[in-house]
Amino acid sequence: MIGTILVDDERLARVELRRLLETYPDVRILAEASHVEEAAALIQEHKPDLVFLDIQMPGATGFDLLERLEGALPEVIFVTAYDEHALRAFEFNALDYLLKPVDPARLTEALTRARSRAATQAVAAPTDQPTHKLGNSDRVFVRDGERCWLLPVGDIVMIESEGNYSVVKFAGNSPMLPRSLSSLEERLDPSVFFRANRSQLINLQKVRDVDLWFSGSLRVKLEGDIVVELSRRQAAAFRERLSL
Amino acid sequence: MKDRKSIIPSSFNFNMAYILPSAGGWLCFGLVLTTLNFLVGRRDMVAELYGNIILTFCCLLGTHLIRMLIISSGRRASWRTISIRAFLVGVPLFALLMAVLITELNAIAMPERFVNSKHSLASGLLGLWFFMTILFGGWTGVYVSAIAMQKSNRAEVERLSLETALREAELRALKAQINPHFLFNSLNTIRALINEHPDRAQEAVLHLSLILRAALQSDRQLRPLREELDTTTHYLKLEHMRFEARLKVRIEADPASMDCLVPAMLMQTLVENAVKHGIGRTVNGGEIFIKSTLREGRCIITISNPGTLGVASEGTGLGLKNARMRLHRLLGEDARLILCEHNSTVTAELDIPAGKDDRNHTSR
Repeated sequence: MIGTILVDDERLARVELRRLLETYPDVRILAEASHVEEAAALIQEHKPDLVFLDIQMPGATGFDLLERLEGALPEVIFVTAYDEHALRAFEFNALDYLLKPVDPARLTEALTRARSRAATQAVAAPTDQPTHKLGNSDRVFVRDGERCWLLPVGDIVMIESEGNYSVVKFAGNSPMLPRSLSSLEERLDPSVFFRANRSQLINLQKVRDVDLWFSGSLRVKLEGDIVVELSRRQAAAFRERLSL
Repeated sequence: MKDRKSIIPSSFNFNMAYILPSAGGWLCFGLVLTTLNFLVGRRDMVAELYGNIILTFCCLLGTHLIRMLIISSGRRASWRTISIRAFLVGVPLFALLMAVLITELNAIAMPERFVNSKHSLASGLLGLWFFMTILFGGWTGVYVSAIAMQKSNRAEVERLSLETALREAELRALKAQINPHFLFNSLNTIRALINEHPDRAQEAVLHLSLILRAALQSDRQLRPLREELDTTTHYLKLEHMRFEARLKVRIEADPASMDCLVPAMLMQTLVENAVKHGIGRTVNGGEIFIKSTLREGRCIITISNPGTLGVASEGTGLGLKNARMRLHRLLGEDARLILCEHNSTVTAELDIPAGKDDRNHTSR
């Protein structure tokens, strides 16, 4: 069963989507939201598996909603009538989207993909984690100008502090998140992400090489030729962590 | 016009514009020469007449040969090379040829006049060559400049028609095209209504088709406010189905202003913007207020929506600039479009000279 929430500011658009979804017995509509505030509250409350999300809404866009959400993101299928900027972002990042009026065949395809993604995620990370930490296959929404990603946490190589912001490094990209490094660290699994120093958080699974450096400090080479230096104290903790 | 590549179009080969002036000119030349001979009182008028006929014929033949040379090289060479070739090669060569021909023909026609010595024959030929060179040179000068003038006229006409076409295309592009976001959202609304309220769905299809028809009628740049307001009303009714209670509409139209000519689909663009910024971006929506008045020979149309200018101005700048440009092109610099904000209400004011629909303007 896929629990889903419909987010669109137009009532008739939601009516239409609901009618289309009636033919899928495994899809259950938990709630409907007409703007971003309402949607954020309903998503926290219902923890849906899937959200159908309009882009252009009063006050804030669908992208704003994803940035605002705490915790693991549900599967997202964007629904839009026509939005050149959004379409470019979707094509670029292979995000799933539907065009209004929605073609039932496309809806079926999008649902199939969402189901298979949800299944792999369920296998990778056991549900009901008591800690509420983000697992490797949980995704976060990051945006860099016109480009945006629903990024699996496991793909992050390093997060660097930049004032109240954090720069997320992955696969040659480095978008900024409007959150502090320590607030991000709290949400990430400590067995995967290690605080290398005051301003850098590294993904231990992305470590490629470790060099001994001066007086007990370490030099860690990460995927994508990112080099991070560990102080003596942190180096000791790092050794301990890896020997576990 | 059809063949832009060749400098002298092939249609010019047997053009009356060449045959008449050239043949007529040489004929006049022969007649004037004969008249002069007669006035001077030459005794042997029959012989002079023969000589003049031969001369006129050879001039016509020679200049035609020069023209053939110009045309044959015109397909490949540049205009400058053609002129140089005509003057340095064509003129002296054909002048010599004709001088020889004239002398020969004269000798055949009137052998009794050519009993003089070889020496005088040679000097006579030389003089005739010189004379013919000046004659042909003058003719070629006139011909080349006539062609050049015609060519530049043609280029001017081409430039003007191109400019007109460009401006036409530009205006068409500036004219509010159907906004795809609006179109697809409307179709989605209609699809939902087909189930929920089939009668309202039918109504919506009618509204949409009227809007599309107005947008596609690109042959008219100006139309009466009455028609413009009609399209806008259909648009607002359709948007009301989409936004439901969020969109309220109030229209106060002065009947006296209904015949004023306004740029087609301009008001539509302004109302679309008002709905997008004033209604689409707020959760509770608001009212769109349209008012038109006729005052001191000017038609003033205002469109108001709740909201502020600062926040929502990204992206609209270009649309507004285009609307202004089009307004100025159609109605002159005197026409104005102003956007202002007062008490959380954004108002677009269109202030244009009240030109009446006199059936001449509207047809294009």
